[in-house]
Formats: sequence, structure tokens, C-alpha cells
Amino acid sequence: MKLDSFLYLTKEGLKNIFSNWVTSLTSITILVCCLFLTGSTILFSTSVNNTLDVVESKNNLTIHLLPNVSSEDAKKIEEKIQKIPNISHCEFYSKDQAIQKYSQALGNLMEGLKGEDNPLPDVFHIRMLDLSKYDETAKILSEIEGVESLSDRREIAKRLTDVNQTIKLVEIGIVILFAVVSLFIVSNTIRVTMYGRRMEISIMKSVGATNFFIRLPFIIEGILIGFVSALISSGFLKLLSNIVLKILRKIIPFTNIIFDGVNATMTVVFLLIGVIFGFVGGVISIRKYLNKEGDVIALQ
Amino acid sequence: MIEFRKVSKEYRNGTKAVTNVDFKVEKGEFVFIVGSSGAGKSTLLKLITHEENPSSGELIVNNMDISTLKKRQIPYFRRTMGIVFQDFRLIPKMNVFDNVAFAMRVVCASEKAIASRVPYVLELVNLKDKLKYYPAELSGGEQQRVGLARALVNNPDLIIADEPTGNVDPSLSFEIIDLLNKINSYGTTILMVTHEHNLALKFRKRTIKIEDGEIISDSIWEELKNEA
Repeated sequence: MKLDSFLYLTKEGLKNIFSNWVTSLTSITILVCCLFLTGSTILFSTSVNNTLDVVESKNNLTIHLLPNVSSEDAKKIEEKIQKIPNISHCEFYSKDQAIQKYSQALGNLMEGLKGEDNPLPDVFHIRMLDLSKYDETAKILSEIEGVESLSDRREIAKRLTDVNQTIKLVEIGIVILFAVVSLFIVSNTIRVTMYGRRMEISIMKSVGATNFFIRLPFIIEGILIGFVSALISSGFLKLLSNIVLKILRKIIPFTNIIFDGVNATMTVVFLLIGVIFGFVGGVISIRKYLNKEGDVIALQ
Repeated sequence: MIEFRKVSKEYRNGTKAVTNVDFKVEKGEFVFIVGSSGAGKSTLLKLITHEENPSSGELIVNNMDISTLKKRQIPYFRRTMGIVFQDFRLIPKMNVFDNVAFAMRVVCASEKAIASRVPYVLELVNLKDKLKYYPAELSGGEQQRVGLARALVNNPDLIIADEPTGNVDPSLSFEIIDLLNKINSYGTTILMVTHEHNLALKFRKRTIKIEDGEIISDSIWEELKNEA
């Protein structure tokens, strides 16, 4: 395509937006809302995921060893634990270290409970890679010789996993819903412009313009609507995330909650999404119209 | 140039628009197609412009067999013809120059070519002094002359005029046909559809009469005169 033609078509695309500015503004507003809500959902879910990761990583499982297990046996048990695929971290904590810790906190109260009289067991603090495999991992651990019991945190693990999965499902649902709404809005806006310009389209077809040429200004219109909407919504998201971050830092300064604000990558992704939505919306709306051949002579 | 070989067109709802149409238009001819409303004139034009496909028969336009044209070839096929519409179809927000240039722009002509060709064609239709006028500022006859200039600007071999005098003052109808005559004298084939039989009589051209989708006569001027 010649540069003259490309410039002409881009100008026509821009003109489309301004000639139907009420429709364009309405669709930009709706698209901004859709993208903003989609972005907020993604931000929220990312933050919850990050927070869950931190909570999960701190979710140590404690293995209590039998009182008669020697330090050599404890080392063998540690080797066996580390061979289990779902274990990310394993740390031995002797009963002597435990009583020492309690002595520091409680002082003389722990006198006489040291050495042979120490009632505490040797333990292993372990972390799992995947909490959804908690049950099977715990079963393997409990079957190791010398293990007396496990501290049972499966309820917490299960709840965390459930929350994580629910959030992911909600996120996917919202993204799909808003994607469909956005495509519908863009294609409808372009359809309105197209019907307003159907005489021009009929003339274009009568003089032999290719479908690509006829389609391009409408696609450019869709892309511009998508781009502008994405720009505005990422601005709003940035504003919202700054406010949320400020509030979080003020009311809960020491917390596991991790809130990621809008960054450059997210803005670029947003702009790309806007442009893609605009492009696809433009293609959908004009394809049906152009496939119909009967409107050159008898334009309705 | 145009050859209908036993062409029929039946729409999906069962309406038979044209039946066994058989005629030939040679290069450089000026032919009137006359008929009353609903006679099948528009269907003939739709078949020529490949808006509709024949249900049966063969149709050759500008040396191309319509039935073998692929969808992507249609735009390039249409560049071989210019269409003049009854309702002018001028874009109100564009001035005369841009309305004519529009037909060149959409086939990717360069701005340089547009700048030299458009004034030339507008001079041909006697509108060179109205380049900057908008359609609303022109009379019906002038608007149709812009439409004619737009049909001509890409230098087609064939001009199809669909009731070009239907929306202009009767006194200006002759002016439009005079212009078509002038264009025809340069070698461009003209096919003009009209329901005004008198125009065909006055301009002494070959006239094809169509009624209920069938050709009922294909006469030269002398025969028409005798009929009248």
C-alpha cells in the first residue's frame, strides 16, 4: 500500500471517531469501565496470590520423632525426608535447642528439665512445594520409621488452596466476561459508524476498492478506541493502586499482604489488550457487511 | 464488451427477475435499456456489476466471464467500469474535488495523480469552476455531473448509468445525456438504464426494451421511430 493511501486511511479512521463522537465516547467510557474492572480483578488476584505464596512458604509442618531416636537415626530420617519430591525445605530442631529456647523465655521454670529429663521430642520443620499434595506427603512422612506424629495443619492448607483456586476461577470468569462485553461494544460502535457511512462504502465498492481498503479505516477506529480506553483505564488503575497501597501501609504496617501496583509491563499489556480488542471488534463488525454483495446498485 | 448468453436470474424467494436474456453490446456503443419499474433493469445492472450471480446462462463483461470470477477479483473487475447513480451518491461533507478524488483514493491512486486527473475530468463535465463547492450548493444537474465525473475519473472502459436523469429537472436531462454522448465519442461504452422511453427516441441510440424480466425488443433508432 502506498504511503498516500495509508495516511488517507488513518485520517479517515480518526475522522470516524470524531464524526460519531457521542457513540465513540460512550464506547470508550464502557470500555474504560470494563478494562478498569478487569485490571482491578487482576491486581487483586495477583496480590492475593502473592500473599498466599508468602503464607504458604511459612506453613511449616512439624514432624515429632520418637524419644529413643538417636542423632544418627535422625540424620537417616532427614535423608529420607529430603528424598520426597514435594519437600522444599527440611530442618532438624533438637530437643536440646527447644528447651534452650524455652529456658531463655521462661528462665528458672525450665530448670531440671534438661538432659535426660528433657520431655520435648526432636523435631523436623519442613515446607512443602505444593500444599494440594498435603495428604499424600503427610502419609509418606508418617510412615517413616522413628516418626511419632505430625503437627496437623491440613485444614489451613486446604483452605489456602481452596481460596487460591476460587480466586483464579473468578479472575478467569471476569476476564472472559469483560472481554466479550468489550468486543461487543467495539463492534457495535463500529457498526454504527459503518451504517452512517454506507453510502461511502457503496461508492468504494462500485469503483473497485478492495475489502481490505474499505475495512482499514474502521479497524483503525477500533484500534484507536481500544488504545485510548486502555490508556485512560491504566491511568485510573495506577491511581487506585497508589491509594490502596497508601491505605494498606497506614493501617497494617506489619503484614504478610503484598499489593503490587500498576507497573510499566502491566500498562503495556493493557494497551496491547485494548488495541487487540479494537482490532478484533473492527474486523467482526465489517466482515458481515462486506460479505454481502448486494448494496452497490440498490443501496437501502 | 458485454455479452448476455441466455442469462436467467431467479432469487431465493422464487422471484424470476430476468429470463433468458440474450444480447451483446460492442465496445464503443451507446445503449439504452428501457423498461417500467420492476421490469428487471436493476437486476441486469446487478448482474453486470457482479452484485448478483446468474442462476443460469453465461455473462461476459469487459472480456471477463462473470461466473468464473473469484471473490478477490471482483474489486479489480469493477475498476473496469464506472457507475452513475440515480440518487447521485455524493458525500455531503466533501466538496466537488474530494467527491471525485474519492474514487481515485480508494483505488490507491497517488495524490499527484489525483491532483492532475480530477481537474481534467471536472473540466470535461463543465464543473472546473466549482471545485470547492459542496453538493448542497449545486443544482441536481450539477450534482449528477459530479457523479459522472467520479464514474469517469478512473478511466473505465464502460460507464453504467442507472437512471441518471431520474432525479434531475427534465430540461437538464438532455444535458446529462449530451455529456454521456461526449464521453461515448471518446470511445467509452455507455449503458444507460432509464424508464424514459422518449430520451432513447430523442438521442437516436440502440434501445433494449425489457418487460417482466424478458427482452421484448432490441432496436436501432429507425425502428423505434417507426414504432412511435
